[in-house]
Order: sequence, then C-alpha cells, then structure tokens
Amino acid sequence: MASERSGTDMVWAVPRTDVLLKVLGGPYRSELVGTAFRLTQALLDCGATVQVWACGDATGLTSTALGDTLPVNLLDRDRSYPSTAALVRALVTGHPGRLSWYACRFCCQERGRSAQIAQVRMRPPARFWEHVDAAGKVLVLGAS
Amino acid sequence: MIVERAYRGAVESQFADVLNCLRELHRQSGGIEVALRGLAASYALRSTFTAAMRLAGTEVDTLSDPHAVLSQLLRDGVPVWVERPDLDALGQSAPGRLLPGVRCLPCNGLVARWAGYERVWFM
Repeated sequence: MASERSGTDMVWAVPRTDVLLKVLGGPYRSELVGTAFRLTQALLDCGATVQVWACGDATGLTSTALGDTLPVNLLDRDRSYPSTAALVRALVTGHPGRLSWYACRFCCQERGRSAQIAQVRMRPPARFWEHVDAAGKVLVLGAS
Repeated sequence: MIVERAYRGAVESQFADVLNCLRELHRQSGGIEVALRGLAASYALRSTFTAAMRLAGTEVDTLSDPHAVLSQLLRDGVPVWVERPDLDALGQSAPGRLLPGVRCLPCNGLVARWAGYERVWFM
C-alpha cells in the first residue's frame, strides 16, 4: 500500500472514522509525537475508530529508511529500541479495521520519504478534505 | 554544556537524547560540566515518572528517561548546575526535590562562571 495507486484512488473512498488526527509537527522537537501515539492508543482503547494523516516532517515517522529499530546503543548493545515506523506498524496491525495511517504524498516527495512502510497509504493533499468529511471529529497536532 | 531545550521527543529519540550525548562527550573530552536552564531544570528533580507507554498491547519501556540519565551523569562525576529562578518556575516544591549532588546558583550565576571555562556549548 506504500506506493500511491492513483488509478484506484479514483474509486477508493476514505473509510469513515470517529476521529481524524492530523499530525503536522515533526519528530525530535517536542513531545508531540509521543502525544500523538498516546492519544491514538487511548482513542482505540475507548473503542473509537481512528485515522491519522501525517503531514510535513511527520511523514518521516513511517519512512522505510528507519528500519524496525534504532541504531545500536553502544552503551547497551543487547537492548532493542523500536523505531517509530515499527510502532506505527504494530498499532495498525494490532487494530485491524480500526486504525488507518495516511501520509501526505506531496510532503513525502518533498522531503525524500516516498518509501513508506506497507501499513501507510500515501494520499494526495488535494484529497485531504475527503478525510475531514469522513471523520466525526478532527484534531490537529502541531505545526509544520 | 548548556541544555535549554527539554523534552525533544522521548518516543523517537529514546537513548539518543541530549543527556546521553553529554555522557559520550564527557567520556571523549575528559570532562564536562552541565548547566540545565529553563524547562530542562526539571531534569534535576526527583520524580516518580515512568518513562514508558503501552502501545498495541506492548509496554514500550525504552523511552528517553532524563531523570535516570542525569543521575548517571552525576555518578560519572559530572558537575550539574541549575539556577534558582528556573527551579522556582517549576513550582513551590521544586527546590526541595533537587537530586542530591545538583548545584544551585542564584540568578545569572551561570553566566558569571562562563569566563572560567575553555568552551561554552549550547546543546
């Protein structure tokens, strides 16, 4: 699903969800990414359906270039540290049909992150409002 | 080494945070001192915070843990400084929760010490 399938996008409709989280803020600046993860999990725990739209530097959270883990910690070589891509994969696969993760195709291309993990669907920004219309409530986190 | 920006992403950084970077610089350089300013001064307080979150049924317990790393820096022999106004800004109880070994200076006390250092780095 990582590559945008423009042909099928013409007929594909955004699945309706209770909440859309638009994540604009980038990683490594604040605790915004942690907030997005915690909020997503909390919503799922409440039984809600959720879609996440990652824009700007937030598209880097699910880049395949991250791999499944962080580089080795030289001070603790035996410990494994999951990448944000691995965490998103676990969240999506752990909640089938209840969580969808989208990445803005323009931002992915602009920032060299077009290679996204299979659990992420890239979407053109011109179709963003379809996601707003398909959500009961929209929360925007951070600034690009 | 002056740390002014705190809490830069515990999920994405994990062990690769500024305090662990300082541990490595301490090892390579032969000795550093650390000044925590602004919100970063909260790293120097005793805390019951657990650096973990549950995601997809799994406890992710590898998040950045600045309190633990700062305690390690102190055990490594790194002098750690804060200024009293930064502690006061964190609440009435903050000065009383300072980790043992952290040194507290009055307002502008850090700047007054700069001339005595070979280098001053803003991290």
